[in-house]
Amino acid sequence: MGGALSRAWKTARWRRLEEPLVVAAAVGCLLAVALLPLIVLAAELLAHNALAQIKSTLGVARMWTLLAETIGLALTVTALALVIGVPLGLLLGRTDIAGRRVALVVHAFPLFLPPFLVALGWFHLFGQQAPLGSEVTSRLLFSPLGVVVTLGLVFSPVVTGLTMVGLHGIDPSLEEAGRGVARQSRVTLRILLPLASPAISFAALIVFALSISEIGVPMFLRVRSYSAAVFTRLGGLDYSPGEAFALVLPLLAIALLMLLVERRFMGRRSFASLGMRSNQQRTIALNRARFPLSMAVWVLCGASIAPLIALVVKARAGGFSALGRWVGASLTNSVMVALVAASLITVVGIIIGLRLARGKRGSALLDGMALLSFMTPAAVLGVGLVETWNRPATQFIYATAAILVVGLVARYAAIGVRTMAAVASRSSASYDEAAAVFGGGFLRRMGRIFLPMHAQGIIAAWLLALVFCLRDLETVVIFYPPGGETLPVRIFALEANGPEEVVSALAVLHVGLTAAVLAFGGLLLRKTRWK
Amino acid sequence: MSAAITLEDVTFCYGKTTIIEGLSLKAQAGDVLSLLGPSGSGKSTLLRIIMGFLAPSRGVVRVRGQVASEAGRVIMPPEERNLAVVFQNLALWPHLTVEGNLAFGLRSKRVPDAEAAKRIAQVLEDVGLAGTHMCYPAQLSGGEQQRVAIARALVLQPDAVLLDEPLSNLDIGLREDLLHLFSKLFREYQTTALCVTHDPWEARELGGRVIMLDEGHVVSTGSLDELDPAHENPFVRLVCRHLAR
Repeated sequence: MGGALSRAWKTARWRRLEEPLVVAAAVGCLLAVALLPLIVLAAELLAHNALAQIKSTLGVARMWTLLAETIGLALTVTALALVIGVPLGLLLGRTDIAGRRVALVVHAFPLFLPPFLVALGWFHLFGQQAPLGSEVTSRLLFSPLGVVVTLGLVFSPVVTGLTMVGLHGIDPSLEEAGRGVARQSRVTLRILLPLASPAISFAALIVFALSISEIGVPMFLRVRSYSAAVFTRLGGLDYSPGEAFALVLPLLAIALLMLLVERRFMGRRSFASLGMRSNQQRTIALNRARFPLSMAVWVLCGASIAPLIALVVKARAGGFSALGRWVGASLTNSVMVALVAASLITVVGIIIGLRLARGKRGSALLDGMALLSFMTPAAVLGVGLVETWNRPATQFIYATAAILVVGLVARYAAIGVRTMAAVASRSSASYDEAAAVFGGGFLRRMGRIFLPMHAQGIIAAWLLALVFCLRDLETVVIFYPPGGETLPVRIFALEANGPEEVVSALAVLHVGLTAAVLAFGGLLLRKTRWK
Repeated sequence: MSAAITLEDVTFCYGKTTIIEGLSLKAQAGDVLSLLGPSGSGKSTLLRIIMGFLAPSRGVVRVRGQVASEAGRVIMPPEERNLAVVFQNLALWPHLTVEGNLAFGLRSKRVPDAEAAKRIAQVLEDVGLAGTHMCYPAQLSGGEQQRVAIARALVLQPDAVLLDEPLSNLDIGLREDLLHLFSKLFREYQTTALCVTHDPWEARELGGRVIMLDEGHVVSTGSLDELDPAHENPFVRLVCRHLAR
């Protein structure tokens, strides 16, 4: 009897510890990978020598002009992405556009690729020697306009997707109330889009953050950018780590400003559902406008994949046969690192995202931390990670593929947290509460209720994290260890002076890998659908 | 014998707003209590405090005589209180069958499989759902889902069942049937029941004591038939008029 009581007491005690222990592990992981580098970086910037360096580096007007140009470029990319993404989100999400599901997949696909691969495709279409190219097209491509169009097209699916999410979260009764007194177009402009605006604004912020971090496209198209200037001081011809430290300061300020904007104007509203009937939305019939609008959507989708077709055509001229010799270990590195990082991001995302969705204490702070790490330009995060982990005691991390995992988790943890928060917020808290009342400890509740109930959302979060890890160049290019280069890094390194056909073949390999991952994910999602 | 649930001078504040102020009540084993009040009177908040999802700002919550929560602190987590809940949206886990929904709590409490199967079969028969073990909630009608929810609560043989406006989404005929079923089940299972509702008729049909809340205060306790039509509280007067029709 005494033994049984003691066992029961121990079990109860362990159950009470389950949740704090698991949460502490997730928070610890997030702090170590995302916050620590920024703290170390800030401390370094405040050090005596660094202050002098900041004075000399940032005292030059040229750097401020470059920063202004880069911000202008990122703002223009954001504007273009909004111009493309908001109408597309509305058309693909709510109307009867012909083949809208396929159109969405085609339109969104380039987002899951490193943007410089798309730029490479455009080069094989509009470069001076390309089939559709001339001196004029080449000049336009290798200009800020080329960067804006390339990145605008690549990043617009972020806006499309989040516009769709925002529209999907609106209770149909809010729309029906408007339809009783106004035409669909007015209801769309005055009710639907304003209600979806937190999600659209969040999308704009993401596009801006991705654009300002981007180094691959500006470097390939020979357009000067501030982030590229930081990168070249760490791994390029202008090697000067001291200057790099100084240069990250304005970028850090921009990241903090973005976080402030997000906290002030969006916060939880960017993933919250407005009501419980969002699965009963009706499709808006376009009637006579259906044909011309469908054509316009498909032309835009065609533009999204035209560069990828150009890559395939180029690679067919002998590139594929030489692939084996050039790919090295980069493919395996990419897959392994992305798998581990995406899984970690998902686990952290589940634990923190669930707390965020339920409004638990401290969760908004953790979300803000993950978001800051995502919005911080990759070059800044990279410098912070180098400074944090490049020490004798941590070489087992810094000199191995582990640093890539750390970097990717730091940069993309926000994707896991936000996606899981969105997933969890779509179901009532009473499901979790019922499980708690009916005696389930934290791990049992997660294993038997939360995970199976949200299996689809969790797989989607994992897939999203996986493709973002696979496509990453700007974070890992700063600190990849010897022999640890990923596929995008390999392609980027060869882009300048490797054989064009081989570089195209490597790019097509990346495209194929991404397509395979997404197709596998699609199958997995279909299999996990419950009645 | 200690009361199933005791609240001693419980106050709950959300920011600067006081939702519940100085509320005390005692539910003895086998009692059926209705918490009746208008929207925003703090009824659901009170249930969440009793369940252990919220800590009172002041006062003490006791379950079986033990301190479960006290000012700002949840001492006994929800899973250790041996309470069961029927939520307003029922919260039947959609990925589990009826049997899976009922077995979840039994497995958490390590009830042996044979005993669990026996209890599930018995309670499903009691609520009139024998033979639905393998159905998913989505395959059942609204009334059947309601029965599963009460079965899920009773199968655990809890010290008290808490009901958070469980019938608010049903038509009048179904509500009447289910109210009679609930009353019968509470008697048969000798369970303490605490039902939150904003409907005086529902509170009267359920029987037992009615505690009326308004703006976080208890404004009346006892039988609805003994209410004073000239009571100083406007909600109590409204209830009297409603019942007199």
